[in-house]
Amino acid sequence: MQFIKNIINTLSDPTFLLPIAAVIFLVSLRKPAFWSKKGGLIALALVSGFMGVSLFDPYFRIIVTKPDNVPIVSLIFLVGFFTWLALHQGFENDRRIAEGKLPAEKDTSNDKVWVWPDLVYTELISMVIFGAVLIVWSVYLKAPLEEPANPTMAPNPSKAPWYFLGLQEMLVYYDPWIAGVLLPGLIIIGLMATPFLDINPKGNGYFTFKDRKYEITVFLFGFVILWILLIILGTFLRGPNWNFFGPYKYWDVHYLLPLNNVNLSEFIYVKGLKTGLPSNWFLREVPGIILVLLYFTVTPLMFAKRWFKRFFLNMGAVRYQIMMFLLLCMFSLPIKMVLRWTMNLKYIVAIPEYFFNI
Amino acid sequence: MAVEKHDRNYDTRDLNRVFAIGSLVLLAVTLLMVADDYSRQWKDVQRRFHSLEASRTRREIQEVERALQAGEMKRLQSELKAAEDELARHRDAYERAVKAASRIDGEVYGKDLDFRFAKATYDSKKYKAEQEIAELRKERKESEADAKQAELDAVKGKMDSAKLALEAVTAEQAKAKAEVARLAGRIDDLQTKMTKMRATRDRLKKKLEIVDSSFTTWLVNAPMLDFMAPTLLIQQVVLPKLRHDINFMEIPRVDRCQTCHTVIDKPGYDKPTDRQPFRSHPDLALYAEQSAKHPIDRFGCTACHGGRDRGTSFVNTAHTPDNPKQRKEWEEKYGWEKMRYWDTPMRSRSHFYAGCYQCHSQQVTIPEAGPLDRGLRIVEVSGCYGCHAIKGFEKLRKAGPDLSHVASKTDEKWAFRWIRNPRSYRTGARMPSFFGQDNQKDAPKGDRPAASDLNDAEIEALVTYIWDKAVPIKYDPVPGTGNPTKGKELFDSIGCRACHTDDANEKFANRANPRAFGPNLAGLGSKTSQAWVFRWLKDPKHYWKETNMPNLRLSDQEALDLSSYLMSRRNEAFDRIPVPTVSEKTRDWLTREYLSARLSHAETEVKMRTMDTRAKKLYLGEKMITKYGCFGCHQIKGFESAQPIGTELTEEGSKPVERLDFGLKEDEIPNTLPAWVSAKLDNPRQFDEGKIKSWDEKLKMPNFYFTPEENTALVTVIQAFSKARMDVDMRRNLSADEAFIEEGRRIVRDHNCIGCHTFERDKTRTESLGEAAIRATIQDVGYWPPMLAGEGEKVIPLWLFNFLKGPTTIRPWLTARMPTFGLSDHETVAISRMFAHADRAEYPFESDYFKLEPASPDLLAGGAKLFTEFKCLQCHVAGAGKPERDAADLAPNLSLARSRLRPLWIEKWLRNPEALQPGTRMPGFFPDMKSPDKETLGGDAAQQIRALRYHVLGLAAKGLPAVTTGN
Repeated sequence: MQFIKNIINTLSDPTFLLPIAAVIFLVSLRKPAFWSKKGGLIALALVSGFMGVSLFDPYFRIIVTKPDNVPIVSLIFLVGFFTWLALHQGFENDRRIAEGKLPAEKDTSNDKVWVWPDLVYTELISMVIFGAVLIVWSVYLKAPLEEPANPTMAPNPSKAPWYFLGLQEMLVYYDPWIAGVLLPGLIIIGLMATPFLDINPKGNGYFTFKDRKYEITVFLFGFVILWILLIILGTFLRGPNWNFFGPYKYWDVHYLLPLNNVNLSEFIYVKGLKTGLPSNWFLREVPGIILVLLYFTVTPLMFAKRWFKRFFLNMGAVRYQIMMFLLLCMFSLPIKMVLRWTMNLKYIVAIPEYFFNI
Repeated sequence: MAVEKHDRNYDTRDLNRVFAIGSLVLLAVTLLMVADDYSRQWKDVQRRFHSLEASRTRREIQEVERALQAGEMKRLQSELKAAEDELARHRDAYERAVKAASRIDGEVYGKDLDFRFAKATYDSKKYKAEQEIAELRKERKESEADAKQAELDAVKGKMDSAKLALEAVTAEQAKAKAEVARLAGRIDDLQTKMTKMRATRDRLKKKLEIVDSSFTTWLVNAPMLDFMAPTLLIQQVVLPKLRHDINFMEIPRVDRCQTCHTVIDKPGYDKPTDRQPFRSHPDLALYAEQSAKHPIDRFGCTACHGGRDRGTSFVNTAHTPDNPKQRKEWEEKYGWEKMRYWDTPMRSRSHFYAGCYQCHSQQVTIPEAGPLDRGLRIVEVSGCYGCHAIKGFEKLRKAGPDLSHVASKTDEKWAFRWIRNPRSYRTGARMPSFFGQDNQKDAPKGDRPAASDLNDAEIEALVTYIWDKAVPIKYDPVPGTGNPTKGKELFDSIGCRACHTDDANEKFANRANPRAFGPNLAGLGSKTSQAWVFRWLKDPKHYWKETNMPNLRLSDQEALDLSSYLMSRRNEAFDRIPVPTVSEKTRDWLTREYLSARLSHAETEVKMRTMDTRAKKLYLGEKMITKYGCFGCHQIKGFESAQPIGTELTEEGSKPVERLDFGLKEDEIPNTLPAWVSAKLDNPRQFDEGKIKSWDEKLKMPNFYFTPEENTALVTVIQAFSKARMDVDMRRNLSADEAFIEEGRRIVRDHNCIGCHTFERDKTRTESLGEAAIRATIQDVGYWPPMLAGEGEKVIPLWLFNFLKGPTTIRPWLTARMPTFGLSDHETVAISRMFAHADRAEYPFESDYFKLEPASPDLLAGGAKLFTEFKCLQCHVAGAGKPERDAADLAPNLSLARSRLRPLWIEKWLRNPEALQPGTRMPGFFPDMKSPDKETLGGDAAQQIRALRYHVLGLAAKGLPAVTTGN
């Protein structure tokens, strides 16, 4: 038993968890069988089984049954369910379209939508059941009030609210300006810009995957992997001092992990060229700056020539460039993560003089 | 049934089913929510209390009924029967009388009504008429005016006649009532008597109605209906002046303890069968009751006990178990778990008294708070404040002796053995053990020598350094030889035993015991020289200016005898302890370790080569003194302004438990502050167990070897040192009187006056303070040092001042000698003032009645006569010599009265000696102010007492008769 727990503890480390989860997720999008009813039930059984058996471990139990964290447990099931539902419907419709039929939503009527009593009655029933669930919840899980705030004693770990845990996780890899202002700002701007960038006319009013492969993959990657998974990581697997603790590990406040991270400029000058760092910041960071510029300028061109030719031609240069910019920003996070895990890279561009580090 | 065919996505019947089930579930869940909301633990407790009260009341009713059945009640009942029979015989007359009485009642009512209407009419008419008549008279319309007046008079006449009618009828009514009473009065009488007898039972029955549960009770406490008049109520006391600090503001306390502890302020619930929480508070006269010193509606509970005031369940009020056994019991019985989110949990039973300190810190002793008091005394005696800064203890002198001249007192070998293990020399040594502790048992490892060798090196360095800095004193050889046997007699009788013992095996349960005030003198011969002891006995302050050892005004021969006795006592076992030689290797390793903390490796080697052995010893010695903080207790040259090395303890009781270092012992020691402090005091270095530390990083606190009682007392004290700040209004503020008394008490405590004397009249206080400890060593009551309770109203302050500065003999038969303490003027005045204020006597001057009202010749003659008649000189010493009587019967020298005693006190004393000094042998010559001598001064006791007073006061001037025997 301890052996299995140790394996799970090791695999839950972000270095393994995120890549494995990303790969599994992206692969599963290619296989409609994953998203069938049977597939969904198997996934549910696995997750519930894992939770149920893990509850026997005292440390797991303490974290998971904490009243603050119970909603995040339900988040796992709810997000899982709705993702499954959407993709299941999507693949269903793809199958129907391949057979020449109309998608399920358009099957009954093209200009009418279910309302009375189907929608409204079901809403009423949902309200009743939801009310009952909430009341039971409030009776058995008391509000997580803690001791009077003490300015001389900050709680450890100090966690952001659950909806910002993704950003707090980003703070591990990026400096606060980027992780707290720039990237979240770009997320919002990106979401606002999406209607103008998305020119795919298909998928209007019905679930589909094949017709919107790229859009759905990118969105689900960003949402499920880069947002939800990081929330789950931040809730259950980050402990005191924001150290990683496996699900069955004791949250030891005194646990020390050395953080020996190196900037790119140090890699190049100190390790590579074996000289000291130049005193002029521009000289020092010019390799990193060039790299970043290349990333944002050359990559779109490369993609336009080969894999994203279709997009480039359909969307036009401006839309394409904006879309690529946002996409590259989004992928900079996993790229930085991988660089940190493999090379202990701290910053690609480190200009502390102007509080600007990438 | 016609079912219309509509387009449906779901089968309506299925939906209906789901809806129905869902709604029923919602209803059930709502009822669950209501039940969960309304079922509270405190309600169950109160219900339990009510049922206990109900069964208790029922039992009481039964007892009362049984008492009623017997005796008086039966007799009354038979009398009542007889009276009723009597009445039955006169039934007709009775009924007629009753009818008449009721008829007349009606008439009275009617006539009363008539009168009142008539009066009202008259009053209103009079008002109107007055004005009209006046008007008319002004206009000279006399006849009209008269007519109006006549009208008014007529109305008045009606009113008057109505009144007369009413009075007549009222008289008749009284007669009728009397008639009825005559016939039935006896019955009423008897019934009143019986009601009175049943009063207790009726009261109890009423109480039972209230307390017993019934449908009404259930209804009135039901959810939603309990806003009207519930019987299950939260009881709370709001205390705006006692505030609770929640870090960003202070909120008034709202103590809800009485919700469950229903009868905490009522007497009578203290039998063993009464179980918590339905028990009275112990010592109700002091706590909780309305008339107590700490009534519950002014002080509440949590101000003293800690805990969460607004909580209403056993767990969330932060009750604290006292020991692991109680903790287990609570976990099983009440599902107890630690209330994690409250920073000030309740103090457990052993540490209740910690709460007294926040208001009573200005008092020198708080005898009612035993453990706290003892703990504070232990802090003073052990010198904790020498290493740990504690606010309020900064001004105390250092707890250990001055080491400025130690080289002239003892030798380095003795000092080495002493420092290594003080207990090997002296049981009950106050000096704690710094070396040989649990974290200094490492075996040699590579380069590093064994820890015990390193300790030896440290001690050797320490001793060398101190010896180097000591200022020598030249001691002349002793003038002659002493007799140890005589010395022992002196030691036993002269008063040394009030502060010292010379029994190597005598252990005191509490190091704050007055007889442990001075060190245990067994084995003195192993430590020092006779010359030193001789000079010390003759003049203690020559060696240590702040010593508490007083000067006993010994003659040279006495000092020789005593010193030779003390020097004859050696500690053989201690003498045999070898002093190891420290190897150069060990010394080098240690020196290198400390040098390399500041210098680089290369520089260290250079420096090492320049230091010879002695230089290394001195270097290490200085480092060790800084490391172990010896200057915290001892004065050492060069360290006069060094700061204490330990953590500040002023607010240690409020320290969050997360800040305490449990080392690797988190599983063994409960995660609470009291448990940590207790473990720390028990074995301070235990938290180093299993830790990897460099030599200098190891824990340094020495081990005091506290007994379990001392440990509990000290944990109480630490919890008393909290950051709670009491409102000035609520604190025990000392009045001017009390401040003077406390100042004197402080000096009395610090110089161990209580070693010989009692100061309190209250026997329990005397015992709890351990006053007059020397009495345990003196068999004969006659040789006990005098009791000082009541000294203030007794002696003239100036005399007391001079006496304390230079004692003279008052009771020549006593072998114990009042020492010269060498107090400053201020301290002496403070003591004298303390006595006066304690007795509310005038201070510092009182009239000299001897001069103010000179005595008449009659009075003088009478006084002389009474003095001989009452045979005063049979017991009282006068002039030189003493009467042949038991020491217990002897009395002070009366020639001192003039300069020593307050005149009015002499009279008070003569009136009733037993009241002033319980247990005195002075006879009371004037019981109930009646004199046995009926002739002198007309047999007037008051005059006789006055005469005696004058006589006694005149004795000094007259000179006294020679020694008398009997007669």
